[in-house]
Amino acid sequence: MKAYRSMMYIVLSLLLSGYVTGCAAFYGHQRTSRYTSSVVEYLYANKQHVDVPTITRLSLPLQVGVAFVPESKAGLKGGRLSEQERMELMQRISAEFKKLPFVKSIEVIPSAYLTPNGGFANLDQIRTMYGVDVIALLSYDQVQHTDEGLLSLSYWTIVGAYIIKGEKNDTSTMVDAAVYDISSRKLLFRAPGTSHIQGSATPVNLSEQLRTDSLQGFHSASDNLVVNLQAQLESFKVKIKEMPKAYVVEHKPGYTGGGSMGAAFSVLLLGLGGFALWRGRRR
Amino acid sequence: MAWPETLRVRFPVITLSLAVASLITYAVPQLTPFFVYDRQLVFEGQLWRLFTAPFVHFSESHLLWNLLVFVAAGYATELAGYRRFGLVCILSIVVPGLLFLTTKPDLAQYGGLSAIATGSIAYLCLWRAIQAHTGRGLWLAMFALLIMKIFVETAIDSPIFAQSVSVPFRVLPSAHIVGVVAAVVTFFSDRRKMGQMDAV
Repeated sequence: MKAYRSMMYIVLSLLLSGYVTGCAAFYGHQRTSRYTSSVVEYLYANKQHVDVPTITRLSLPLQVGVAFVPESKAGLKGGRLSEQERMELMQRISAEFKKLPFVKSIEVIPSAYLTPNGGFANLDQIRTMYGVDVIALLSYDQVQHTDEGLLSLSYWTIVGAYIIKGEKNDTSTMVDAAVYDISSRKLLFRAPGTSHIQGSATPVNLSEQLRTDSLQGFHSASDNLVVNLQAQLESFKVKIKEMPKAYVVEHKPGYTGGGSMGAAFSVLLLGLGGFALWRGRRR
Repeated sequence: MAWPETLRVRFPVITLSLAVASLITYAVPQLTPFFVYDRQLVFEGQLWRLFTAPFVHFSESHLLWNLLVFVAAGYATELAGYRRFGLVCILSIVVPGLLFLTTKPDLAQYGGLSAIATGSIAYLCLWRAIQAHTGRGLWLAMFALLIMKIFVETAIDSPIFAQSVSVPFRVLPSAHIVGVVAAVVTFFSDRRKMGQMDAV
């Protein structure tokens, strides 16, 4: 009887240890995840041939395209944003371009139309399909780290694994928008957006929480991107004025015309006229 | 020779009327698409757009600078008693639309007060250059500056002060030319009438 009891205790201990170890092994793997895509890899994968930028001719109003470049093979994990999530992010960024007076239309281009390492040849195809002059290529780099905190000791209770959030998650995201003029192959300007999300999860819902953190990271980074995009666009307007030989601004048929005095000339005229009237009254 | 008292204007009716019309058009969003010069719609019979286009503006800065210059020049012109200023305004309103309809088939839409503003400045400069006791050179210089700006813009086909990318439209130097021509024609017509009145 004693031997039987001893045997039962040993078997149960082994089973319990195996279960807990198995749980720990099951919940402990995959501590770092990375999702990445690269504009450079997409456009310049073919190192044999490099497209040299030419003079950029901007025909106003512009037709702009927005697209995510295909994911990079360098990502440690093959995970990705779903197409619906990408479209939502692109719509958020497009909304800012739509406000611009010299933008005629925004086309959100599905990821399926961009081939891996497609390069400018792929962009030419998109230009033909959608009629876009300029394209904003979106790329991203997101890293998620998961560490176990002190609360993870509660996992030994088995119940703790279901209710105690002992997993600490860290999600760092960068979304980059590089705006290219397709005809001239020239990068017009770029803007980054970053975010950092910290959260926690139970081992049971860890993957779900990581997906939520991932999406929230992209949304926050996109919001930051939009702010930086506006600043970079203003810098680009100044650049166009300072480099008229590199950037030629034209107007398409069907344009809107207006009579405008312009701020500088108005101030000059008002100043001169006011001075002339004042001198006349003095005499 | 001064204008007869009965012909002198004491309150800038024309300037304020046109300015208020521009402000109302901008303030009420439904009016802009109804008043703007639209080539396609003009050909469909909406002829009023040829005459309401100057009251339409495409941005706050577009409205602000046009209005500032026009109100300042128009106010000074009317207070000085140059009653035929109304004719300058009428010509600057009517002619651009007809001109663009016939000579600019690729222009889809047009708006802005600058033809009238330019005409007002030119008209004031011409009269002050003749009648002012001091500062005639300054008025002539302003007129010359106006002509030079229009000439350069027409020659290079690009605005030299307003940035193409900053404004949501293409700046049309020809609108300014119409304003100046309207002012010059009216001025010389006034001078001829003055000569006739002196003879009488």
